[in-house]
Amino acid sequence: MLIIWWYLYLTARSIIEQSFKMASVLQKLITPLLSGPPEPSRNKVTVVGVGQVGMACAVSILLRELADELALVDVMEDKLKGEMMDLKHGSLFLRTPKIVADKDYSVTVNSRIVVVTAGVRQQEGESRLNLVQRNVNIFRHIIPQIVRYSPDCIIVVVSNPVDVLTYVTWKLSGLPKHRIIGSGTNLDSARFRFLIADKLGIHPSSFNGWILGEHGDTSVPVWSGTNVAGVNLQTLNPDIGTNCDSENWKETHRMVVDSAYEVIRLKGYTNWAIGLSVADLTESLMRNMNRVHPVSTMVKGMYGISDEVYLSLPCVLNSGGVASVINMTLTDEEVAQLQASASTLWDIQKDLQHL
Amino acid sequence: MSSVMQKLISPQACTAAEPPRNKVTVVGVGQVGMACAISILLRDLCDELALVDVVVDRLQGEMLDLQHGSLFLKTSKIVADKDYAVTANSRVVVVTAGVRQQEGESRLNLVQRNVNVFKSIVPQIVKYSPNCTILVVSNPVDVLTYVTWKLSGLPKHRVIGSGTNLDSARFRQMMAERLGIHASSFNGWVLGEHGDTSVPVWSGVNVAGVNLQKLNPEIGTDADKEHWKATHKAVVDSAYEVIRLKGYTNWAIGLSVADLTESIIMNMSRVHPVSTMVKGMFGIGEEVFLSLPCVLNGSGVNSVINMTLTDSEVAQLKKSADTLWGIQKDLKDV
Repeated sequence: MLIIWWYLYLTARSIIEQSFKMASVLQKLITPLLSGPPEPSRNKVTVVGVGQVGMACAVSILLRELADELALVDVMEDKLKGEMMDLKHGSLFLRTPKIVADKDYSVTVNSRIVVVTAGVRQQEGESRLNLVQRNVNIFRHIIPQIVRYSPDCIIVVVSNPVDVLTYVTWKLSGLPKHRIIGSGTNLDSARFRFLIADKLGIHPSSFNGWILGEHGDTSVPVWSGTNVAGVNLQTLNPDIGTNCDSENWKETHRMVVDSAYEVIRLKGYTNWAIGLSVADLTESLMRNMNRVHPVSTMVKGMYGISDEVYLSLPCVLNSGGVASVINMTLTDEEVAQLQASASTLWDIQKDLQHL
Repeated sequence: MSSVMQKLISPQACTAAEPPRNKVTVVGVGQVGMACAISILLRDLCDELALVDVVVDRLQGEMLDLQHGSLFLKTSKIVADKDYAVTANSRVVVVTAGVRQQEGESRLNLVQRNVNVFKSIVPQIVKYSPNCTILVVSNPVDVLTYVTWKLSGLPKHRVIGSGTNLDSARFRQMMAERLGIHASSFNGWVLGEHGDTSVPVWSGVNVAGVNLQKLNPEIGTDADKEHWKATHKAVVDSAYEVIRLKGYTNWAIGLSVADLTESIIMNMSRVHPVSTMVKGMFGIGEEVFLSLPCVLNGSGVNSVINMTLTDSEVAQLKKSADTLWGIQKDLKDV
């Protein structure tokens, strides 16, 4: 009897020793304490479209450490995989431990924010409004998939023409309007602040100036609000922004409108500034900051606008999306410009198919 | 009749604007150069960034695009020109200029093409920033770091090749992924030549000081049942793989260059695997640059960590040195 137990003991011991020798480095090195699935991500961002703009958004978001998971989606599988691998190879230097990519939208599940950069880009000389129907057809495939996998997300639309496509996204998504945001004039305002601050020899963040309305040729610089440390520039120069201004400050706004075309002419596309501005918006949304940004939101009922259009106004952004809109004091002329933009946009929107 | 500016702002300091203290120049505004630039900008490492290239439209376009993002950055001066005068007083100059490797082309095949480009670049860099540290990224990086050193006349501790900093980063990421931990928690060094014959130092591979070779003495060999060696092979192949998929690599190399730049600009004395002049070490008799663990700070390569390598690893380094010298000795005009 004892001999049987002894042999059983020896056999058991040799099995244990064998399995220890056969244990992998991982098993020998690391003793798990938790079993079960890993924690889901809490701050997931998806970027749809891995062109130059999408990747600039991705790398800006990664370097600002805003997400604990980043998902990329595109239809071009090789390029998508290549971009994902290149970012993953930089993991050592980043604080975003999970970077995934697939053409299937299931990879985007549970995103807090989805940045949409997909679509065709404007060609040299092509105005933003000429891109529209091409991009609507693409969005019909994208938006329902996004919402299916992240029904509680906030969508930030970047693709141009951004105001129209934000409207399109809103319609296709079925989400409440405060969760759909267009990058709008966030970038125009940043360029405006850069150009004017440069002339004044100060940092852009110290110059306050807002460009509102349509992102593009008919954007509205609100000269009445431009100020440094609360000192109103229009009070110093009542002609500011008009054609009779001897200092020709209006030229700066014209340069803002032209800058996209200029950069496209020089290097083929723009990406860095838009990427940085998207990361700035993402930060306010992700960190629930209630910062005010000029972004494209649904403006029906404001400033005498009766159509369902998206235009940029100063919006308070937090983790719920657009929490509120700042009521601007605009001149009659500025209001007229907003109304004109609204009409132009509605003219295009009413003819769009398949919304 | 005074301007808005005159009414708004009263100057106090009547002296000229302060010169930059932490200026970085990036030479070459291709995908790699711009990835380096954006990574450096987003890590807030410099107070001035200069870009140089020969393609003037693209250069201007890239500069404008970055400047338009100024509101969101802490680098208040971004300049660009094809004339190197714009690079004056740089602390660090990152060289990404040159032609990139084509699909399937090995790094060593690029050489003479890039040497000719460097002859017009390096002397100009040194002319305007005689005290800078040059960080060479263009491939084949070990040969081109040697070329840069020769053309610059700078002491060897001021010329660094990005070397195997990226290979080690990829190695750490891939190994860490197999173990379910973050790359920064996995310690592993890939040294020697940046490329096909890089040397993973398996004897040093560890997590929290636990040496993996002790857990698995066959690690990294062909007899290893767990095939850990395949991970190093994946590192060597990864550049080719990403190039095949998206046409080039840029993000990972950009991030790794920002990491090196941070150690230099912030005088951190961190240890990085970068390409340095190794004549006299490990029985190497030629003036070649290979990656070893280097302490990087404001002086450049402050010192080198003396690795305990196996005979096989030393033999691999020597072999790389011979291969590199085989190419270098035939280079013209260096």
